[in-house]
Amino acid sequence: MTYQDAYDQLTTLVDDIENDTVPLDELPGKIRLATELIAFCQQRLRAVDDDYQQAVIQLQKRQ
Amino acid sequence: MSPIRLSDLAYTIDAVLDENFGGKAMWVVAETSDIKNYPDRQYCFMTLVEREGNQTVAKLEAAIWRKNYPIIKRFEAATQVAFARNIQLLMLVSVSYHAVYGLRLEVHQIDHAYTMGNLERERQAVLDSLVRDYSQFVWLDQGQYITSNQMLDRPPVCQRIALIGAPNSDGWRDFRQELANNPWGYRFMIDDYATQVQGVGADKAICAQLEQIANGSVPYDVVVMVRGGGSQLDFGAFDTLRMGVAVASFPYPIVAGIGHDRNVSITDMLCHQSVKTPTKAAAFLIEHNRTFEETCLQLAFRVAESGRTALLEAREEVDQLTDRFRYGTHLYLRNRQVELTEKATTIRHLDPMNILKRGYALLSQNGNIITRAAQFQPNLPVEAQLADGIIQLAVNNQQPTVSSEQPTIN
Repeated sequence: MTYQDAYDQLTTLVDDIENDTVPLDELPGKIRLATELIAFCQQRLRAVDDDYQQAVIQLQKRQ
Repeated sequence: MSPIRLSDLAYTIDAVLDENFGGKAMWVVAETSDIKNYPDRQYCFMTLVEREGNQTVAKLEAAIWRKNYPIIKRFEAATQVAFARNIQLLMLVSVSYHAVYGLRLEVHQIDHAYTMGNLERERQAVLDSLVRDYSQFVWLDQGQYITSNQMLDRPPVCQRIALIGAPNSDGWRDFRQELANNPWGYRFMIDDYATQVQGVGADKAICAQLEQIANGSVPYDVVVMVRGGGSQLDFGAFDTLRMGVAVASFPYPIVAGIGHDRNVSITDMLCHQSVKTPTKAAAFLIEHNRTFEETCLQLAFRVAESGRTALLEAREEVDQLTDRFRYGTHLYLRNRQVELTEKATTIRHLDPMNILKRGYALLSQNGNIITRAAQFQPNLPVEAQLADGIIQLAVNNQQPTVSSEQPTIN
């Protein structure tokens, strides 16, 4: 799954919850899924941030 | 007739010449031929000629004596033309005769403007010919000469250099030294194309090297022409039609640092980039490469900046979405709660027991609830259901009175 996939899925999910279009019985499943998606996005962000910091260090070394 | 002495004849010649030319000076146009210059002794002998086509129609010996000797330096300084053979001069001369040394012109002044005018006319003729006969390489745009060499794109980094010049001349050394000492540690690959850069045939020699570069297998980034250190004179080689064509049409950008203060040669006008000195030619290339490096550094900075911004934005998005999720879920559950509460209230309102508690009674006969007067059966007992029990009612056998008005119940 890509970050964008996760992000889009999360957006749809939140939209659905906000629009009251989720049957109550499905809510626990949706909440679990949303929590997982948020964790996934955060983890991807952290990984990309680490890469970015490494790249910046490399760039600075060359100067 | 008895013979006379040679000295007498010489004396007579001297007298005739003196009568006609004595104390007179006149402006004469002539071309220099053999020149014997003695800077140490401060005099100069030369032969002046006039030609028509290939034919010499006049030839006279001339001298510049010590008292006029500085005119040579002044001429060179003003015209930037070396005082040498084969140049057209306008000179103020007087005629002198000596019994031993013979007839000789004495040069008093040289007209600079005449020579410069000639040079300018020659230059203009070359430029006109270039625009006329080589219009694919040279054209005029708003009074400026534009060439295809000028239009070439310089590679972003210039490292492979073909160097045209006289090896070990000052200009050649200056150029190499300036490149080698560049403060950024840039490396250059320089191939020498050795040639004379002044004197007779210099333009031919330079063009031959240009041809070799163009036909060679090394794809040079740039060609550099250097000349300098020595004489400020003798730019002839850089003003010829041959050079003009070669430079304007050359497939690699040409940087000229041919060392001059005032004159701008045709080569300077037509080449990709003209600078004053070989040192400046090197500085130009270093600066050019530095520009590229700075662009790279800026790009690196922008990459870092935009990466940071993109990450911040992504994080912000996820945070916002997380907040919306929390609040949205909370709101969702509260909405369900509110729905349930509303339903309960409605149900409570509908429960008859609640109505009975407020003092109403439910009437029934024979187990059937009476909701309308017409349902009343006079001969049957009536039960009144109250909140906490049932009362048996004794009823008069009366017919019901049907009211059209709806009683209001609170």
